[in-house]
Amino acid sequence: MKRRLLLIPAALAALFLDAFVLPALSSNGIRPLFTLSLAMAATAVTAVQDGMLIAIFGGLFTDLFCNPYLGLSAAAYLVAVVITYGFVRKNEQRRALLLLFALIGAVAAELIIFVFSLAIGARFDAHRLLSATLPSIILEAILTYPLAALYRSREKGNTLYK
Amino acid sequence: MRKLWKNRPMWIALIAIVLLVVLAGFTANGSGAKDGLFRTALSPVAAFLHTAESEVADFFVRVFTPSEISEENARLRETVLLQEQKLALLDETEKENARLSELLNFTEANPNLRFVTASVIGRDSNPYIDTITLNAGSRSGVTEKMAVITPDGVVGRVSEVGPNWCRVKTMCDDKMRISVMVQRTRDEGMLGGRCESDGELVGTYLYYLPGKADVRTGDTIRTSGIGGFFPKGLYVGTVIEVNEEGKGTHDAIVSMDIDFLHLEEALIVVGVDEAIG
Repeated sequence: MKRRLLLIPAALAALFLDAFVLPALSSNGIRPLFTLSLAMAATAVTAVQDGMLIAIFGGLFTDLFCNPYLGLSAAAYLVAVVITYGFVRKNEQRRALLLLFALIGAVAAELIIFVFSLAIGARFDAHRLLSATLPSIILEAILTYPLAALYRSREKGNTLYK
Repeated sequence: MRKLWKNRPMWIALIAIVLLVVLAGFTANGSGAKDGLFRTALSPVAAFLHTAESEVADFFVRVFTPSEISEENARLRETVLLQEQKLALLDETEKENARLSELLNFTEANPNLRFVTASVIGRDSNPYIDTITLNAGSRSGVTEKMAVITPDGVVGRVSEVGPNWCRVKTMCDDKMRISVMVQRTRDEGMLGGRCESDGELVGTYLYYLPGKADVRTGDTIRTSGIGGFFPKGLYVGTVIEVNEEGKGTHDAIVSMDIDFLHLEEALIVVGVDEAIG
């Protein structure tokens, strides 16, 4: 439990990067969601509960600070966590597939945000989808890999994904 | 039921997702009063985080941007240099075009003369030997003693020939003499040699005019055609000074329009078509 509580500061640090640092450094609208990558990495390495914790805390705080729709990011991150968990659980010995699972999770999360935005009247922008969202998804998936490795090194003997 | 309970985290996640989406929809409709309260309560935290963010962002910008700026500067510097070179080349081409047009006009105005156009590729550094080197030689039909001219006047005479170059003794050389005449009176004389004043070239000397010759300042001097090397009637220069008392020395000083120091192209007279002339 104590170990899980430590995830909250990690989620807040990820939020800080997502909400304040990465937007200042982003170019061409490409903004990978660091919290999402962290949640997926935690799910892949230890347990789905870890990923959920990061997704809910990180997502809610992201929404509170940056988004007008409270809960949207948290819901999207949770979807990614569930999907990642579903895939990882069935392929526990195939670490190399993590990138693919993370990619699917990131696509699902971005899809939730995209569909929700369309539902509340946002304009469909194919160019933005291809030039900003798609590279962001790829970066999120790629980012999951080193984060998982980092997480794994801290979770010796307690890893789901060895 | 037990199997469902076994997947408890997944169920919690799914329920949470549904709740969160509903919450998002709720706030999207603008009716999230509590959401507004949350945000208001968090605004000091947000302000603090924004301050921290600007510091962190500045740090990253400082880390990443200087190399970008210096790269961009290098690129821009290179572009400017390239543009300057292009401009200089364009300017040079325009000037060359003007000079060559002038030469072309001159050749068209003298259809009886056959020319080889040549560029100056060398000047003697010796101040006492006034010669220039042109980039046309025997392969172009150039031979010794051929006349070298420009639309501004006579340059000199070919003194040495190579396969693709020739050396020209200019009118300023002290040993240079060509046969000329005063256009107005048709009096003939010899022209050549460097006339300087305070180290500056002012013209060349006119010698051996007949004793009764009436030469005046402003008279135009042209080639006489005697000797066969210089076609008759080519412009040489204008009399700027008459030596009234000189006996045994020069009779007049003739100013030439040619700027020998900046001469870049010249025409070598390689033949004269008598039929046309």
